[in-house]
Amino acid sequence: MRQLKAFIKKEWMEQFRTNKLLIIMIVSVMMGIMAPAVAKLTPVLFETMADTLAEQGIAGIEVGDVTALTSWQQFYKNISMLVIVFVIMYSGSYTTEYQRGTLINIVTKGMSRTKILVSKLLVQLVVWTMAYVVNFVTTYVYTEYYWDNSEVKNCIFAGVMVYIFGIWVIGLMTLASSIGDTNMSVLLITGGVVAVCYILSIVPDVAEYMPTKLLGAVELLNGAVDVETYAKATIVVVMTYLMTIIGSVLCFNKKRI
Amino acid sequence: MMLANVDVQEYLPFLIPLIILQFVLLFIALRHILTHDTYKRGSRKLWLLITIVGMEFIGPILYFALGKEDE
Repeated sequence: MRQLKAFIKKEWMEQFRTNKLLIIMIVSVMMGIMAPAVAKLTPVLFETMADTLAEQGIAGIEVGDVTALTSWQQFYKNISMLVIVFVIMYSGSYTTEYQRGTLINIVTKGMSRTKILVSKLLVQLVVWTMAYVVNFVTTYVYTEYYWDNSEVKNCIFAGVMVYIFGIWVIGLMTLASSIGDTNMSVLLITGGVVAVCYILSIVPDVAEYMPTKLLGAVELLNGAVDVETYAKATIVVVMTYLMTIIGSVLCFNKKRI
Repeated sequence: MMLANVDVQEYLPFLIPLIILQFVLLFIALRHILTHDTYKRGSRKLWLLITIVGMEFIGPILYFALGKEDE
């Protein structure tokens, strides 16, 4: 327990010393502001560009009423960017330690490898939770200020779906880190798996089971889709998440570091 | 294109935090560049140029993604 605490503390300090936490917080606040800002500005932009567009023969673009829904749609358009930024920032969490050999000392002194993995995973989960909550709350507050959140259905539930997707990606990244040796291989494996999920989602029957379905939670907001349709994908996400964690513990224990 | 009929006051809640964030990020990036001698790629002059020219978020983010050495 003491070893685990010490390693978690080391990981947590690293977040501050390398400015990682600060940068991801700034990015998430920025993206939280951008969603309602874009929703607010779009009709103004169309208005000012109406003459230019008319000259080019583009006419009759109707900008519907901007509501809280527009703001949330922007939020879900941008949210995959936050996941990508997170993955890029944390893809080197293990691999830089492999390359610089900083884990060798700790492991030879008797620290179990599972504890290293668990503490890194915990810290990443905490950072993801903080970044996502900050992003979500910023958009929520602005949307409440300019419009009215009560007209958006399943607001919190849709948010939780994307949050779970982020956790799943972290699990994937951990597995990739316990297989690959370089930063690039981690990015490629993680990105590759997500890309395969996207491609498989073309088949409608399969799409219901794909983790990437959770990223499309925006369709819940206008109440067109029932909450229950996400049950299958959520179960798949939870199962595959547990499998990636068990798999990464097994791979990491055999890994040459 | 004129944005003359836009009420700036209405957008202040967006603008003020974004401007503050932008300067905070710029400051952190500049301090990091000036206190480090080696970079993953590029030189100090290059990164100072990129960070200051692209100070609307993109410069500092590029530096932290591509230029900062892994510690």
